[in-house]
Amino acid sequence: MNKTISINIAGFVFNIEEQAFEKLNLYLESIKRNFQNEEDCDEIMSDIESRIAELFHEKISDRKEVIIDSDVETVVEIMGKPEDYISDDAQPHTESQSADDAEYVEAEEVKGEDSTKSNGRRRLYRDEQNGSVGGVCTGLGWFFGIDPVLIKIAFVLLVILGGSGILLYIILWVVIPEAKTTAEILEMQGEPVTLDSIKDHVQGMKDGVKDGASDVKSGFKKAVHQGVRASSKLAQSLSKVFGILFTIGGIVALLVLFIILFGDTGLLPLVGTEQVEDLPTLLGILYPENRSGMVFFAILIVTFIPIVSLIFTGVKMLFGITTKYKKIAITGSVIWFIGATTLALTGIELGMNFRNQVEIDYEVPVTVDSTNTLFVDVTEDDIFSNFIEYNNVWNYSELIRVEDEKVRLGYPELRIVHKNDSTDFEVVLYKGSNGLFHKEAIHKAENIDYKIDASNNTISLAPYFTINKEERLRNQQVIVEIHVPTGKKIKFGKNIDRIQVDVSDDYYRHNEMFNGTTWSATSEGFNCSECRDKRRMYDSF
Amino acid sequence: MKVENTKAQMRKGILEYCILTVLSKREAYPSDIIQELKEAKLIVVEGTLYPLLTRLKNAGLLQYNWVESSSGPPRKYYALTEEGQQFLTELKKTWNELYEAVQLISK
Repeated sequence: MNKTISINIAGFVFNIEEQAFEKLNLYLESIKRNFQNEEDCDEIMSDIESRIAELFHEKISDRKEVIIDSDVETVVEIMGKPEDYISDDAQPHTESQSADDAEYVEAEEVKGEDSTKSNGRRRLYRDEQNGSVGGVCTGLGWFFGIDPVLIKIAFVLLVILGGSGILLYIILWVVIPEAKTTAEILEMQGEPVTLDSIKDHVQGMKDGVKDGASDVKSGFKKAVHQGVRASSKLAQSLSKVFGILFTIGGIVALLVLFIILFGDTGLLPLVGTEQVEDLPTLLGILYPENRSGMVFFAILIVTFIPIVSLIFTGVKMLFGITTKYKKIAITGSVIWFIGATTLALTGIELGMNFRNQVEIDYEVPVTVDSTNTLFVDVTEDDIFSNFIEYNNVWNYSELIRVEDEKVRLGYPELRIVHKNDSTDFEVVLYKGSNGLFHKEAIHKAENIDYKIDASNNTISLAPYFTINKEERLRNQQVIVEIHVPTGKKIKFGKNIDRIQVDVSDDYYRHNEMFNGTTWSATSEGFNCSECRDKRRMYDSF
Repeated sequence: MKVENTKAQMRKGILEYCILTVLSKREAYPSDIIQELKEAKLIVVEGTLYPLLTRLKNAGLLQYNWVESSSGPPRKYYALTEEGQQFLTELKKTWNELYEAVQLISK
């Protein structure tokens, strides 16, 4: 007793035994492969199917209603085996192939039949059957003839390295077609696609025999050989070289982007810089509440889509995948355009908010006794010292810290100016801000909170100033200016290099090594007594 | 170099000529064509004929009519077009020349 299936060939219904059906299905599938690149594929297939229907028709009689295994075999005999179908057009291709094959056969010594003909060529597919997620790693393993575990390890490393492995995996998942048909699975594994090999394969699947190590080993040997062959081909082909360049370039760009967007993971010290807050937070204090999420998303789109398509193209070139992804390409471009437009519009809106600039000055009373020396230092930094190395070179714009509703900005500036015409020290605090309107800018400048202590020959400056989060970042600035009359001195404390210091003029800027130095104002300018060799005299001219 | 390959190449070269010749005598259905080609040992399996016919048809050398069949789906009956006729005449000339050349050399 056998189960039968009802099938429709060329508009005729036949009852066919299950086993015979599978055989027939495989047969049609594998001959279709020979034509699939031709325009007339469908026509040829329907001609062939018509003929098969006719042949089946002859087999059916009053006494025999079902198509059985032997009927299919007869059809195959009449119509020809899949390998008989190899089209003439593929001729030049096959010939160039056979040159490579010759080497391969030599290397393998006795290979017997020409089983490594054009259809023995290895192609990249996803192996969902054996893979753990989408079969990408296993498919790559087949392609390169290496253990998929190695590729999986590489992916896991990439995931740890900023998470780009996940994205790369998804890209590969989309680009690489899944090995669906038996013929594709055989191609993936580098087996020649003949009826016999298909039969063997199906038999293997049915029996569920994971047939021992010997089989796997010989498969491996072959796989390595073909892998080597594949890679020598890679070197020859320019498109592959570009494919590699695109892929690697794309992955590197992706890593860099991840670091810029989500902060330094610390694993790539050469690429990333220390940063206190990540991009979403910074956008949150720059854009209005309801905009920042949108802007971040737009940035993601505008930067990721080109990189992703670069990797996409690279992978396609690298593995010779010819499938077209028109829909994805169009959707991608549209989304990119929307993202770019969003960025432009929100950018213009943001720019408007910087239209007006305001600076307010406050006099800070200070008393200095007969020592004539004003001691200037910065108080201990309880915020940024956790993120930056003390007395290190940093980028001031990175010193932004958001805490609850407050934003700490770690870049106040100190200017020491020589004043010939006065006799007393003067300390002036400037607070500045931009805003959409003049009034708004004034309001924002007034709302800057900066701690400055002046007592007994000493000025203590806070290492940061504070604004309310709802004020948003509008180029708020704090500048402390100390006017030094001739004959008086400034002595800097050990923390002074924590903030930006400017002695005497706008042309020389020194953001380091001011700590512990003393500067005396002479009629010719400032004179630094304890400064190291390089820094002897700076004048006010 | 395998003799089988060379044989196959030689057969392939004249296959189109033979198909056109068969069809110049009468309209025919692929399995009729096969019958004649098989007798001449030019082709062994039917499958290879279908792509060839499609290609010749798309090149404008052949045309076909659908004819209802009592034993299965409707059949395509192929015939030569005007162009195919001219093509065949050209091929015939070449073939005769080749034949004579081979005869001459073989003497």
